[in-house]
Amino acid sequence: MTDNLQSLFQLRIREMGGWCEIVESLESVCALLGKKYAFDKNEIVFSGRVTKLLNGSKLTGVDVESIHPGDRREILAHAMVGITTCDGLIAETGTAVLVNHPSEPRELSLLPERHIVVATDDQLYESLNACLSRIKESYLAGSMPSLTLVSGPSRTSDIEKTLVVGVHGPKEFGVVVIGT
Amino acid sequence: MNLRASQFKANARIAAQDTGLRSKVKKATGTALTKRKQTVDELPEWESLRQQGHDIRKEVVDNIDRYLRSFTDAARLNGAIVHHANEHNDATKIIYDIIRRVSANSVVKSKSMITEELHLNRMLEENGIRVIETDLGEYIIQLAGETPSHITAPALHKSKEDIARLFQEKLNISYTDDPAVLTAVVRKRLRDEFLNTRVGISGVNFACADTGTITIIENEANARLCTVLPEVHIAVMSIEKIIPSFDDLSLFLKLLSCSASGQRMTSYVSMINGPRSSHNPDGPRQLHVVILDGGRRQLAKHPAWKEALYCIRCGACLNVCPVYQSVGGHVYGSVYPGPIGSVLTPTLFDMKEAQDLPFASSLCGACTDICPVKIDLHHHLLWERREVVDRGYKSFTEKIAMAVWRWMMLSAGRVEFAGRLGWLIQKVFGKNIPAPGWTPRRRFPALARRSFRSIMKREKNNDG
Amino acid sequence: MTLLRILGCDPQYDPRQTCCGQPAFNAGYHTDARLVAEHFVEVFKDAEEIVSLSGSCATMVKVFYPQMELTGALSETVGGITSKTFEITDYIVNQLGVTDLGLTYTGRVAYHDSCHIMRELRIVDEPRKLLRSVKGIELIELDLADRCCGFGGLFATKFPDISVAMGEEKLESIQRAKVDLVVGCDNSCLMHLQGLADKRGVNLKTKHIIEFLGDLIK
Ligand code: SF4
Repeated sequence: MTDNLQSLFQLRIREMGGWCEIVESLESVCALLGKKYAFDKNEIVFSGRVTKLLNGSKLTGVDVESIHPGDRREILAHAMVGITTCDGLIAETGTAVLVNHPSEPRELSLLPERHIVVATDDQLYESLNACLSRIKESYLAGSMPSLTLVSGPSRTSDIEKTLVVGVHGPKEFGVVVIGT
Repeated sequence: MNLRASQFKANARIAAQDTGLRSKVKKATGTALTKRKQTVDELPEWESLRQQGHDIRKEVVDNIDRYLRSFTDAARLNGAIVHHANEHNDATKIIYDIIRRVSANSVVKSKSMITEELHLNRMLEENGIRVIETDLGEYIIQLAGETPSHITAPALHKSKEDIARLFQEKLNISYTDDPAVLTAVVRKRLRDEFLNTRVGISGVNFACADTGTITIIENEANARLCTVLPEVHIAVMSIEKIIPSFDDLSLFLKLLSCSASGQRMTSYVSMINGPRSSHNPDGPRQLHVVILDGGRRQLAKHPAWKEALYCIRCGACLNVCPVYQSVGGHVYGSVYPGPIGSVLTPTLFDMKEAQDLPFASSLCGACTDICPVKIDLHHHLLWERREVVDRGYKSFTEKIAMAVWRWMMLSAGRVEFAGRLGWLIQKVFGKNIPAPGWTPRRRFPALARRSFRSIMKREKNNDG
Repeated sequence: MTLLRILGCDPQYDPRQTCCGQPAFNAGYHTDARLVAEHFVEVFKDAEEIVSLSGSCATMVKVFYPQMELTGALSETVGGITSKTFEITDYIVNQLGVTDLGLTYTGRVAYHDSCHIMRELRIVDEPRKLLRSVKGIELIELDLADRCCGFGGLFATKFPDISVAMGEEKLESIQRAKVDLVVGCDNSCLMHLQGLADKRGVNLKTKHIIEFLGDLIK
């Protein structure tokens, strides 16, 4: 079942112009991203939730919380990669569901040139409906944070229906899933 | 061209002969339809999703006051400031006041049909506020000083060469018609605007009555930038954007994404649950939701026409409409062109002014078949035609012609006589007698000397 | 008529008949349409079954009559009329259960879907079945098969330019299909297309399906 969901998720995200890699350990996440993005350390920014998820494994880059809030936008707007976690992956649509979180500001998935999500395979849902109702249930009325669904890179077809990737948001969207 | 609905006939005449326009519109709508079809074909449950969509939209429109109250309460609980506007002018005034109160003199704006309906940009600019449209299509349209010709693809009537020339002239860049380069130019120009503008205006695709969530779907990320970065976010919607529950979102996201762009899900969906607060660590400090009635509550009471309020503005009925494909969107003279525009413009705005629109359809029904919420679009056009006639907007000549026709049709003998007369006229004057409205570009068929009727009669007599 | 007789029916033609009322109905003149519709109901109320050569007229009776406010006794008869009215190919295939007429023809033929037949009556396969049963026929699907030809009754004369623009698209699709003949179930669409082709000097032949099949019998 999980295998099927994984391959469906991979198929869907590819259809939308994103990518998904499945790795087996926390170390391989760092290795994969390290190999893919040979940028300056300061050009890679990740969230506190990523640090927590990686649990000691070292990822090249800076934690967004270590940046002074006043400089944050400027730095993120020039960053090459923004790395976040998510609160659910949706197989039927190839979507990552991001819940607004104190250690993971929304700008991190929005301003850098690329947006990478690190997730675990137990976060995979078959349908969006299942994931959304799960999220809704876990908050009291009036206290649900804002959500962002990301299913691909920023794109447009406004000029003669020609697909162009990378309009105002990230030009690349990728998901690394940690399997057991 | 005087782009008013009352001028539809004249404008459509010109547009229909503009083969350049026709081929641009045909190409764009064709691509959109192909993509949609591919995705829908892979969804065996599509028909049942449409029915669910229809039923839920009906439920909302039938109980609009209750849902409006419940959405308002929920959004306020989330910390949003909710404003209700009865008239269009009330809404623009509310928006203007919000901007003034924070002493901003510019706004970044993402695509929204309701702000088009409000003519918001014109009003704000007349009052010294710079409006920066950030959706690529809207940016192009704003630069050209035009209005959108499609509800999801505003610059659909422009070729890449048109856009290249526009950018060359207005942005002082060297000529290029490469969509990727043109897009990059806009990205670069708008980046700083996003980072520095203090007020963002967006539309709303769906507003959940139970959680107060405002949902915005898009592909470019400009709506995210307009709703996350500024200090103040003003979300503008009309009352019928409400859906009963957060749990209905996945259904409507599917219906809308597939129908609008043939995607299972657009690149981005923002579900906004209030401004920055203890549970919402970032985002604007103020979230205003401006809700326009604009005649909709009244329309919701009409047993038939209320259906037009089910619309989720996917634009599929425009794409599939052979009339739209032939003339484009501008000639409708309304914010809402195409089949939904022809249905909505007379009933929501002005039936006298827009009386030609319900007639501007061959009633082929392609729109009704494609509509993700199963609005009986082409039959509504029929009922509206009746209303136009009942209100006496039709010419005297037409009324007389109709009376003569009826008189004839009530007796077989008169029909027979007319047939003979027609044959005789053709016999005497030849087949090419002019019939206005038909012969200038088509030939008339030859009428038979003896009608089917008389053949049948003779056969019967012989048998007997 | 001959065709129906061969199929074992006993068709009758009532010379009192005129029109179903659709032109007025589509023009918004519902009162006029109603009077003519009432005449129709009066003429046909005792018929066993009603078969129409025009899908559009069959649509008027089957789909729109029930939605009109017919008056008096006729309003009760209308339900019966509606359920016993059939478009001819629907009648042959689904009522008579005939799909093979045992005819032969050589040539490339396209079937034109009239919108009322396709979208109101949902008759799509029936005429195709009949045509496919003809030996030697090459039945071609148009690339714009589900697109309106632009006739639309009153529309064709109220908005001739749009109507013609739509017809041109259809005509081009027909030309791309390289067929000798276009067969349809509604003469009005065919008349529009034929008129357009003649004016433009395009070599196109159109025939009503029953005329086509009937000619093959002779
Ligand atoms: S009427 Fe239906 S098809 Fe047309 S825009 Fe609205 S939802 Fe889409």
